[in-house]
Amino acid sequence: MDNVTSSNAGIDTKLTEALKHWSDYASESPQNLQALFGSFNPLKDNVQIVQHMLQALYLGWTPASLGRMNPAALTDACRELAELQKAAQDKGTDCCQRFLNTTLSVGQQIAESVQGAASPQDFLGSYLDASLGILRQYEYNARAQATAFGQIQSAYRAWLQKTLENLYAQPMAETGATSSLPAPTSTQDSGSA
Amino acid sequence: MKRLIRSLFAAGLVLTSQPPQAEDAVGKLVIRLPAYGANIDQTSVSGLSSGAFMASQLYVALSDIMVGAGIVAGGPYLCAKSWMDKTLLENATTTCMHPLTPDDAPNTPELVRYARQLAEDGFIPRLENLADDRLYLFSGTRDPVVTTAVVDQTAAFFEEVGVPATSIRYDRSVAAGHALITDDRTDKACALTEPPFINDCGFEQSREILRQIYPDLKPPADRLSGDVVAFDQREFIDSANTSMSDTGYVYVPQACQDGVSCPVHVVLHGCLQGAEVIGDRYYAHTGYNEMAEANNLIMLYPQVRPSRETPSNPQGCWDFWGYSSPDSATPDYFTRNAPQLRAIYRMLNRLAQDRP
Repeated sequence: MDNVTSSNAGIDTKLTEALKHWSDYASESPQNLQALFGSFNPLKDNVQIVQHMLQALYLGWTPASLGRMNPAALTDACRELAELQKAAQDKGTDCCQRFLNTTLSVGQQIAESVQGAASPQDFLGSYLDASLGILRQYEYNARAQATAFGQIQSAYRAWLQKTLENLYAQPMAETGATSSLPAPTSTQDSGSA
Repeated sequence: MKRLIRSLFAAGLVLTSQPPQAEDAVGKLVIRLPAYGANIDQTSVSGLSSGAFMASQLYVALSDIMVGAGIVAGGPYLCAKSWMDKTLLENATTTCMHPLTPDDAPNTPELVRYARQLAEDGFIPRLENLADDRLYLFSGTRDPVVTTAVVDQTAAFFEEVGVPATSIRYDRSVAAGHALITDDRTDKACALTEPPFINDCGFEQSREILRQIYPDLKPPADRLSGDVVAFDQREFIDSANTSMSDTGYVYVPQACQDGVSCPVHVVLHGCLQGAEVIGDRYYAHTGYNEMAEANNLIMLYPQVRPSRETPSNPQGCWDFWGYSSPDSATPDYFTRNAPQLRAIYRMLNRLAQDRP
């Protein structure tokens, strides 16, 4: 981009800056996506969850033994579920409201940015900058929504585990085995301490 | 200080096993971390956010030499293992930061059970070591990143594993955003959550932390007797994926250089707060060094930097979900043998060695 703009001395500075901002955005977005996808490894994630379950069972998590059910825990579970659904609904409403607010402000942001433009290039530069700002707001909203979905999903899973634990609460079993504890270091990280 | 260091280099007293770094990113002279005969049996640690999670880990994993910790906006030890049907990363980014409801907050009973098992099996020192320690906990009421529901569980966890309630000072009265707190008007406004995550709320949090851990400290010094020294962190790192910077920082008051055996306080920055991101803001302008100067404490500032690919740590956070062992489904990031923890432990051991 710098090569393109530097060889066009007639281009307005504001337009040059706006093009550079878009260029930066175009190069940073794939990097962010790469970092995001780099965080997930479905195979490793599944192994990790199985390991967590084995470890929990080893530490005495025994709802599977289905002892006598505790009816009082059912009331608590229903109350917690109701709270969770209310919180999830509030989160969903917040996300919709955020998108709506951004959409409603688009016209105003663009109109304000191009107001008083001295030349077509100035106009274009302002328009491009305002558009990039709006895109970033939508991106921010989408990130907030993804975070909210993650929170909601996480909360339901925690509720399920907690409910099972409380419904079939058993005395903790003591064991002496260490097989399911993590190895102190991975092969890759082995070295003298 | 620089003159002293240069003369040590010239006299051959400062030796490095690797090619020496001449300067850090901002042109500060980098040396081999010197030995000061420090008293590491009185070590303590504090941190913000990911640094606070790491502080929990360092505190428990080294409890045999620790006397206390300061945890600002951080969760309990082992937090990312809270719920069994979620990955460590999922737990770390939801339950350990901003759970939807308090019921999804860190699963303290499970974490306590696991910590006890780790201690019983010798992966961490005895939890009884914590019984005579002192803790400072803080959660800003306007913090949207690590909410009070999480820090509440940090308090519950440490009480459950043996720190007396009377030895825990938990402050959740300040309308602060996600930040380390200072009394400096040039920092961000108190309620904000914005880089560099250092906010002016009208008091020096570093002072409160250190006073809680070490009672009867003197007021901070008006002037420092020397500079913060940049040291080569690479010699302490034996793993390819720690995401730790080449350079760490240490402040050593003159008295500790001249023969007093000083305790060490480890200060851990949060995400997006390493020196490669915000320069000297954290290690030189948060009030720790002035307290160190007045009270003969050594301040150690290990550093992490952002890493986009392997390991995946784009914001330069300390490891509390296992990124430093990317090939392992059961990574160890929480015992003394964890890649980052053992690097810091080695730094402490160097500081404790007899002076040359």
